[in-house]
Amino acid sequence: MGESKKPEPKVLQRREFLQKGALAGAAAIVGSSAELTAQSSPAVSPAPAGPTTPIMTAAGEAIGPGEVQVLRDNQRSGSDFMVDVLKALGFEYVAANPGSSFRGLHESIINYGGNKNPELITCMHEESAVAMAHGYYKAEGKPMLVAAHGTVGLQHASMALYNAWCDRVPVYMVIGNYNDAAVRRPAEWYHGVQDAALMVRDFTKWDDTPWSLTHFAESAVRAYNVAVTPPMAPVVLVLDGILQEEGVDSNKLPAIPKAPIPAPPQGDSASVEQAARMLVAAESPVLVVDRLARTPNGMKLLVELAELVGAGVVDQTSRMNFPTRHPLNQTLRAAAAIGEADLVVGLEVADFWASVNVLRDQLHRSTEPRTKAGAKMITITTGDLYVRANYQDFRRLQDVDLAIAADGEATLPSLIEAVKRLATADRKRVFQERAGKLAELNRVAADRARVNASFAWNASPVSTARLAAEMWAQLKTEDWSLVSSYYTSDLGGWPRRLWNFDKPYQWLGHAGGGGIGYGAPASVGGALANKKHGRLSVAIQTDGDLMYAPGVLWTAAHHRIPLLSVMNNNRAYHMELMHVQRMCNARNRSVDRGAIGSQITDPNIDYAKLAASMGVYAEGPIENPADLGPALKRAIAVVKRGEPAVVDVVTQVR
Amino acid sequence: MSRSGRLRDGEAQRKPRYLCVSKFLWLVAVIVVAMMVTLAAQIRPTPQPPPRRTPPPPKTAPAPKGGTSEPDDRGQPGAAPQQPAPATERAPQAPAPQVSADPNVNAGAALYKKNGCYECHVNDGQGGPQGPRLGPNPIPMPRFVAYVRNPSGDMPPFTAKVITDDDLSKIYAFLQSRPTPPPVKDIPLLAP
Repeated sequence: MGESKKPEPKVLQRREFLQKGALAGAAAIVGSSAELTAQSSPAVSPAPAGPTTPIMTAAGEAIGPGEVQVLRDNQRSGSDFMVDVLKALGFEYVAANPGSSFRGLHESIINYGGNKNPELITCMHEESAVAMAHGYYKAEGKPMLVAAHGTVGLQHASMALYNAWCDRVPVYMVIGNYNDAAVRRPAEWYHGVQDAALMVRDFTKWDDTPWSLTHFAESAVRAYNVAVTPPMAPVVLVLDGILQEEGVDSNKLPAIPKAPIPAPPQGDSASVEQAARMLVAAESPVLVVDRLARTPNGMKLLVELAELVGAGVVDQTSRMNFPTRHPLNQTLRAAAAIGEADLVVGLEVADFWASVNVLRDQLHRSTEPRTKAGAKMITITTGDLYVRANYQDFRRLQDVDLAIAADGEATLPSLIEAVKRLATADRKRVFQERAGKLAELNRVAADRARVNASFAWNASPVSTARLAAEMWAQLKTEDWSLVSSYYTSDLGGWPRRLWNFDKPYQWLGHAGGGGIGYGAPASVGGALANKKHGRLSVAIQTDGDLMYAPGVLWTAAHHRIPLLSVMNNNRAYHMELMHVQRMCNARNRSVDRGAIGSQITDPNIDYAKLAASMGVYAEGPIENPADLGPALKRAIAVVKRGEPAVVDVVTQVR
Repeated sequence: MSRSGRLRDGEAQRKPRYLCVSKFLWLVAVIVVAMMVTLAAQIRPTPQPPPRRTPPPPKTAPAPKGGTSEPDDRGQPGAAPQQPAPATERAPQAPAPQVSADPNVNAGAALYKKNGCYECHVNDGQGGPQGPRLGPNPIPMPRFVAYVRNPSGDMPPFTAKVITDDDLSKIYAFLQSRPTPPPVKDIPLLAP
């Protein structure tokens, strides 16, 4: 290390500071690799040899590090160009918890990009950021960008990525990494990794590590198209730190590809014709749907098909597939509807085996079919196009009569047309009579649900049915959207039994992989998407889920995201409590200790104070059901002003 | 304190004795106040409907064969073939005391909680996604006991070692005592 005079002290500007930071320690930033230098060498001004900076790379030796490096007026940083590409892809928001490995991109988003399209949403955990993007997609129908620190940030994010993958939801994630070991600051060694996306490769659809801006532009567009083409799933791009930070002449920037999003795969015409024949010939067909409705048109198409053939619909509700009060909706009597069917058509059903079979969860696990003997089965799903080895989300293999490997929604128009061609007048009369009978069964089931809701009506803690009914009384005259999911809420299904869901954005489905901690951030993400549409977003928020990462309440308050969160506070991880009891019983032991480890009591958590501490309007805990209506009214008034609100309700266990 | 956190020999003796006496008195006072608060909470009126009359005798009803009468939370059928939930018949409108005059009911309430029945059949026996409604008019006692011992669906079995027949009879009394709700037509929030 040579000796020379130190530079004069000066006040560092931000960009200078960033680059100083990159220079600090043992790393020389200039010319991190031959490839990078080849692309961006015009950005690097030859400078006098730095007196205290070791030269560690060939490129660095050739050029020599500068004391202070700023971009020339005719230059832009690599991450500025990345923002150009991200803007071209149409991202509205980027959810991120800050991390130094994407500091270049961070700065470009807020300064060069004007913090608009995408706007940076400050998250307090990477898992929350990804789950927000998951919920946002389901409300908006397009991906949200997530930026995260390499390695440590991705490790935090991994559970939420797994949820999105299981749920076949596109999350577009970028992470930072200093690929060149020769230029890493000390802290970057803990974050640096040879293959940054490896740890999530089993549950992402595609990843890449661009080595140039041209490479980035192509991979960024490719990643978007891969993510949103069914079967959809998350993608990850690894952004090299130096590629982000170095400059490039403005007139040498690569072009941004304009590759169109591929059309989703439809079922082949012969198979669709065969499916239509089976549907027309069936005496008691049932349509079982799960992840069918990718777009608002999906629900319209399913209604058309069901009405055309007079078929009952069992909605497993991973998407907003079918109106809850449609006369052909048989979800409240799902087991009976499937048991009576002579044809079961599974449309994008994640677990078709479990739809037509029962596994008895006793010490000796046994199975039996739900369907009657001789029942025919058809599946139409992109699940047949995408099976991975390690994670077992593909479920048991069901023996079916016709399997069509295609996107369900994309296949419905041709199936509907084929049914129209094949349906004779006689069959149409049969369809009509059948629809009438199913409508009556639907009415009886709905009446029974209301009677069931009346039990424990005035109980304290508040019954989940009462909570759902009180919420519905406040929501039914609003343009509402229930942004929470089953894994966090839905009050034992009461909203689906008591509320009128008839719009595509009124239900966003489930977490996918069953990872708790999804509900709160996904609700905030859904509410963020709903904000510009003026919808009243409401979440039924369970206590255990919120406590995984309650900081998302701060995100909602900070970004003025209007969301009513009504706590379904049963003070337990109740599902796990039931599992432990099952084990106690199976081992013939007393069950009175079964709650150990699953209850969230002693002390009880005060969620109203928790929310208030983060600037969120809050009420509760409410234990008297008579107090609910007025509290909800007050909270909704706050949400209509554009802010989040929490109403903590102590509820019965289910 | 030693590194293990235990008092060293003689450490307690270094504290003034009057402080120990004072702490003892404080402790007694705190316990008394806590007991009074607990008692007050128990006798505090609740938003429950007024107490109901003595529950009617059990009516004949089909025995539950397991599974749930409602779809599970994913819209899939219940975990076992659909079976009719235990029939419940409306008892006369009557007040429902939180603390019953019948000691069996109170004991049954505690046993219903202690044995985890509430986990699936919910706090008031009204049923939920994992278990059907049990009260206020449960199935006949012999069939109730038989099913608990040897359930046919997903319900975990409770042997006599885990819960005695006597305890089951108290739980049964608790289920019988559950308040009957007002008719749906009288609940505006449940209007179709």
